[in-house]
Amino acid sequence: MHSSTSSFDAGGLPVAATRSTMTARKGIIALLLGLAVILLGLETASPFILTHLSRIERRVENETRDARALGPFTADGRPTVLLTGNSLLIEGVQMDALHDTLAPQYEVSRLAIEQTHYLDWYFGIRRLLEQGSHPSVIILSLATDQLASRFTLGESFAHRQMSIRDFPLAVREANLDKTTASTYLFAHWSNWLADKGFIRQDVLILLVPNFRDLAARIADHGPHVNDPSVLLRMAQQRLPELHDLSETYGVKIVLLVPPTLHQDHSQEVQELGENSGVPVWVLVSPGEFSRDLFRDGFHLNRQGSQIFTERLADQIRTKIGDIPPGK
Amino acid sequence: MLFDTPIFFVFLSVVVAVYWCLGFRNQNRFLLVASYLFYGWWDWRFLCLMIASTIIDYFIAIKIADTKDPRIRRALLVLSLVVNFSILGFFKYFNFFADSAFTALSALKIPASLPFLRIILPPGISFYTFQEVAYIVDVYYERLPPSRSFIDYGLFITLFPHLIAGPIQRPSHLLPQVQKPRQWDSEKGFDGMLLILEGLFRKCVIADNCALIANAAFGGAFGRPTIPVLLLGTYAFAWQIYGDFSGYSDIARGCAQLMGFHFMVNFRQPYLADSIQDFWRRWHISLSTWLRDYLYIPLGGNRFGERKTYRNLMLTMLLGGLWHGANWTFVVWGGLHGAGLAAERKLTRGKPETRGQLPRWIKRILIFHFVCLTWIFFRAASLRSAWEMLKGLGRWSWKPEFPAAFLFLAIFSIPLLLVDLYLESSGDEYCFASATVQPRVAFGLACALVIAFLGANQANAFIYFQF
Repeated sequence: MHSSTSSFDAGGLPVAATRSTMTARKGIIALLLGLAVILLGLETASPFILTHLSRIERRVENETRDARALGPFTADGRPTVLLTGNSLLIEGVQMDALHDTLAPQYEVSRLAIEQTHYLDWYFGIRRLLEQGSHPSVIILSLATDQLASRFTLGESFAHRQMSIRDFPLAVREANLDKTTASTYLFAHWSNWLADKGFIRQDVLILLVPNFRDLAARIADHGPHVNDPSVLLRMAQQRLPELHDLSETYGVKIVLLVPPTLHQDHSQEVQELGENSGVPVWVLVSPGEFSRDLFRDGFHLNRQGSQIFTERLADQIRTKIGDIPPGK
Repeated sequence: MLFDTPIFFVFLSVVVAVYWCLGFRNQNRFLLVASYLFYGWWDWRFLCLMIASTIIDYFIAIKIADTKDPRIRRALLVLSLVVNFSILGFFKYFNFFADSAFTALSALKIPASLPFLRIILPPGISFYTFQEVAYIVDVYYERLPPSRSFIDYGLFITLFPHLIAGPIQRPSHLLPQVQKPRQWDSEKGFDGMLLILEGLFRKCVIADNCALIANAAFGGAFGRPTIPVLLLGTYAFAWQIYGDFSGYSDIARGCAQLMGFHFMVNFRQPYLADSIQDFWRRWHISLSTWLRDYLYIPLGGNRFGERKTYRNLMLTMLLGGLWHGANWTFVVWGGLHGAGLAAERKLTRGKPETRGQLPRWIKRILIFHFVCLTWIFFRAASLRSAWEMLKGLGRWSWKPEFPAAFLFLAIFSIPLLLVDLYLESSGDEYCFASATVQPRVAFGLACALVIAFLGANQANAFIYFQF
């Protein structure tokens, strides 16, 4: 039984329209124009909306801008070190302390984006280097399962970190189906597609008290790589990729494995790194940090990050010079 | 191609624009090619399977119509049913039955080694198979003549808006529309655009957000099941699956209307049903009426006494459950609905006044919760997981994030409930359907804005794509 507004009779065949065709035509034009205005408005305004709403977005934007401008040395001749990674880096390393400790020898800066994995950074670093960034050393902080993951940050990755030249490779590496691949392609050029997830999150933070805690619990972090053989196979494939990147752009690249409570096979990954020519820093053995140094079992708390930052500072001070430069 | 992705809207825009530039015959040819492209986008091998299945039924239907001998006609009907259900059975149920047989033999301590094949389920196979079966059966019973044009028949089966997840179109409804020239009608076009926007709202805003809570609850992110976790998971899934599937149906109907076709209504405020029978008149109407007409009634319906009626109800719902997927969870889901329908019939038989004993809103709440209970089996990965979830009814826990989770769920489910209450009272097919043009434009743009700001950030496949 169709409603009285339907243009069909009960048998589904067209009958005379009940409203004037002219009116409906105007409605279509008004709707299409309205949708076009909304789309154009969102496309133009979304970066401003996002930076206005989100402190995180402002940080990422500032860090990206600074990272793009990095040369191998500062004006006073100190080598530059760029730390890249995700929330494990943000919460695991106290940047102010690290910066102050190393200031006499190195200029340390950070580019961190939450929920990113290996592919985000492999393509992200490539794009950064293509755009003229040239730090002396890039330290990529990833847990070993993140090194093996095929997960990316979706449309945001496609917009911010993937260059269009890398699109076919990104599709292959992330094992994307055609529909998702096409969405990545659109997102590469669209501010709105890239930002809409973050804007939605910020709107929900305004609407739902304690939404951040809820989001941390319900967010989809992608499939975890639990199988050690898969993890090591992927590491074996990906560490040479990082080495090639280092060689191509003449930048030292180091993989930093953050502390974990459980066995993460970082020692084996470290050995693979030695064979591949990419230093893998495991500054804390799996399980060495007790649970009370973690905020939630994954991210370090203030005390944990203080200890880890001190170890990282020592490592940078003593080991960076040992790393062979890229060609 | 998912309906909520940019590539689909590029595809749709190009198809609609080219379609209206062509003459009638070329429109059908063009739409058939576009529908094949739409389907082959997933995997061209699935396309070959679908075309082969379509060709077989096209020729069998003509042969049935041209044959006078009832035995040959019957043999052709059986041949078509065997071919259709064999294809469906192999791709959808082979591993299920092999695994079930292996489990049963193992339980009896009989050593067995059964083949387990890596079979990929072709998208939409259950939908187009049911449509083909309906066509063959209708031709056999001379309810409609067979299509003598493969283009027309192929388009009836594969018209892309309904191809992957329905609504399952009746031959008597869609085939005549395919066979006759269609004229652009601004009313239908405008309605179609609004249906697409409302469908996207249901899918991207309601379903995809509720999915986050449902996935967290069923996936263990809130800890082991307790009463709050069970409530969160079940309510969230109830609104997720409703938003998801009714959203898909609205988008499908909207796309069809942009090309001058009409698809049957697939949902009519199901959570406002006041009996289980009423629920099945409102939920997935194209499937429930198909099951009624091509399974329940041929089994005898309610014509051979009470016991056979209950048997027919149970069989229909069990098979309806199995249609959804090769898992015992779906069988139990269908069984619960079948048992509910039978119990309801038993309780109300000859006593129509019993339906009036409780206020209608109480009956609606009771039916909603019965349906929610059955959704646990539909959503759970296995019977064991469903049972674990149900055991949560005996446990209590409270976590700091629960208030935010309930508020989040309320924000994304209450709007759909309000929409349904409005549609129920107005009798409209979609919001503001009977209003003048200005409020409808405003409604469409409001939908677009809400989708833009609150739509989930990544496209999720529609749940019914897997069926």
